[in-house]
Amino acid sequence: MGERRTARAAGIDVPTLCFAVAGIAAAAALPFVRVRPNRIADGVSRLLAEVDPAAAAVLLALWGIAGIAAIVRMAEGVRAKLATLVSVGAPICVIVAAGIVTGRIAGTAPIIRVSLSAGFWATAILGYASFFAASRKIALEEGLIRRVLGFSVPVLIGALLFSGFLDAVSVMREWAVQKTVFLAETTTHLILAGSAVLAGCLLGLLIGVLSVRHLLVRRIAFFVLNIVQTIPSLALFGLLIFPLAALSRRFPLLHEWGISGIGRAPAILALSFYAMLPIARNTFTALAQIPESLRDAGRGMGMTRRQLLARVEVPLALPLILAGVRTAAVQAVGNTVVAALIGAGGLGIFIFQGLGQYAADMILLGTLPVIAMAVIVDMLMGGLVRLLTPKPLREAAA
Amino acid sequence: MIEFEGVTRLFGAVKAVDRLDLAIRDRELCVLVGPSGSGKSTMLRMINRLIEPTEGAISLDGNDVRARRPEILRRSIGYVIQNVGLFPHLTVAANVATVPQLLGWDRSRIEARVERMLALVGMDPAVYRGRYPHELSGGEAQRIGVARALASDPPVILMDEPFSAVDPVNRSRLQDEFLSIQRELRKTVVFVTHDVDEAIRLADRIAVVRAGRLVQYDTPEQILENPVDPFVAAFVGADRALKRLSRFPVREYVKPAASARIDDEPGMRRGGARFLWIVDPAGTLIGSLDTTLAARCADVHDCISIENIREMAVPADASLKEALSRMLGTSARTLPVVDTEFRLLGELSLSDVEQASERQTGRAAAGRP
Repeated sequence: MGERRTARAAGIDVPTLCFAVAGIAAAAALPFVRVRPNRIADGVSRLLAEVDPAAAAVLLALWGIAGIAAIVRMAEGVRAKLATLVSVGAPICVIVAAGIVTGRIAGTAPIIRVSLSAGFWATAILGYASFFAASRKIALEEGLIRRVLGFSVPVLIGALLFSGFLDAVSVMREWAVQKTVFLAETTTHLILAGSAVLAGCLLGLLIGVLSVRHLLVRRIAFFVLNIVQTIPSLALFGLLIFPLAALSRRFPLLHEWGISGIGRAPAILALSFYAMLPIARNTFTALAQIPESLRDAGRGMGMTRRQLLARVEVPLALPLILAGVRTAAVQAVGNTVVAALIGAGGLGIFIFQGLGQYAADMILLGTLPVIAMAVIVDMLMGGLVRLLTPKPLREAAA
Repeated sequence: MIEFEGVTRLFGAVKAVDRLDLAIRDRELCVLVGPSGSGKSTMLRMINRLIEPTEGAISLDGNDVRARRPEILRRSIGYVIQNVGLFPHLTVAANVATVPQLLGWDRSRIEARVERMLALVGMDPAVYRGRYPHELSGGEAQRIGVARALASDPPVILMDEPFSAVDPVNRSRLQDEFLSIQRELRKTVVFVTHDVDEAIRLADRIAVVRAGRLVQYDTPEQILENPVDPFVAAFVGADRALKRLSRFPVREYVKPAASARIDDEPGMRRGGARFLWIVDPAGTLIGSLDTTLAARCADVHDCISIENIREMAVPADASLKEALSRMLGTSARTLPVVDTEFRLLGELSLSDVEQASERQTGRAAAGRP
């Protein structure tokens, strides 16, 4: 083991070197902020070195250390820790700089908008990628270090957002203006995506279970769902307008329930369709992959149909089914953006309005929370899958 | 007693089982043997109602199996299948506890039972209780499969080709172990196989099945001696005399052997026997010594032959057939017999095998109706 490590340490750490070079280039050449006299006017870009030379020096030094460490011979463990530390340090450095710089510039006049530019985003993304590449090489028994470092950046961002330190950044100014609407639309977004996933779960499970037993159900259901999956979401929303509008006119009761060609009803319907496929497909696969010999053994020992389901089939199928729900949920969060176009509301409102008004801050106000939501849903579902996977299956998969 | 009365089972137009009448006696190991597709598995699976007969009735101790709900019936019948069917998400202990749990036993009783069952199939409970099926070898998994079937102490065990997915070496060990368990427990066992050698080795009574019909139902000796028609004769094969030998354990024919310890040089030089088995102080077999050659050796240790000793040594649990095979393979007319720890128990010679064979042929002939 020790021999292998020293042998490996002789080489150059190519990924970290690449990230470091890209990081230096981004810090030196890409604009860090864009200053505009007001919300929609054009503005001028500034490099980090122009607006905050100290932060620029720190950032270049951090990437420089990472680059040198990637070339110089050293033990792999030390190198991995160094690279991880730098990867966490770079985003922290630019976030703090963003707060200071925007505060200083925007403080001069309340309608000035200072937005973060390519230099900021590139550093954040490179730091994130470099962190994952480097932290993987940290030995497993030091997983705690890895976790603490990994969580430090999101925690710091959260703390800075709440403390008001980043309030001068243009997105935050936009948020301050749109606060009430933002919270309402975020709730709508969650309701739309949530009900779609719930409906997709119920129908998807049903289709999956029936597909195992009936070939015809399987053929028809997957034929339809596969086709639906290929229809762009906007087109599907559009296609649903006509039948739903007709139904709503024909049956006044439906109209009273708020079902019509536009609004939440067609949005949830279309989103449920998209959610169904991964759930139905995974349910079917999960149940179909359970070896027939296990069912035979279970039945032969005297399990009832229900006992077989509860003791054998569900525990074995659940991880894969939940993986399907995970995919569906992450997809739904993203797809719901488009629902704003048919009057269903949600965070898409900001994106499309922002596009219409050429207001980048508004687009970001819609986009960033969607990304955050998708990441959080993914993490939560991932944790749930791990939690509900029986121990030996987890080991076998690892 | 398990009784089939005029049982027929159709799959579409195919008669998998055709008017079967068969009575399996209590505490006997009955092997259903026949080529694949002969309907033997269907017969077995009708006993615990995994398959229902199209016509006829099956009774268990005089009661029609249809009198009870299938689940209740099955919990009173042990079941072992070819692919073992251990639940991969449950520990060995939880797998063995399956039927006791379904029967609602209390926890301490189940735990005690699991321990006993694991010990019975020769697996240390302390080591294996918490293991998962993917951590077991094929042979170990099948032992757990047997332990699971025996866990609720059912009077009847059904075994559907239980050892056929295991490699030949492990298969014959599993057969030996299962025979010794069966000698102890005396369950009523219905065992399905397509392997005639396995049938002859294990069975108290063999039912030869062909195309859904019972062709001959008799003791292995009788089947070998008096096959009822050319099909059975061909099925048991021309090597009937050899097959018969597989029924006799070496243990019953071992003779005392002349041996000497490796640290006992005068003992090795002493005449008397022409050949000596050489053992270490613990009694473990090391090699053999030709005493006529030893007289000419300066250092007697140089004359000990250790070549082939692994191939020559026959385990006491093995059959005379295996012993004969080892004799032919090593060109030795006398083999050392060892226990599981490779300690010398005695020896077995070719003439012993011949005598056993002749005696048994005579016995079978005398028992002819």
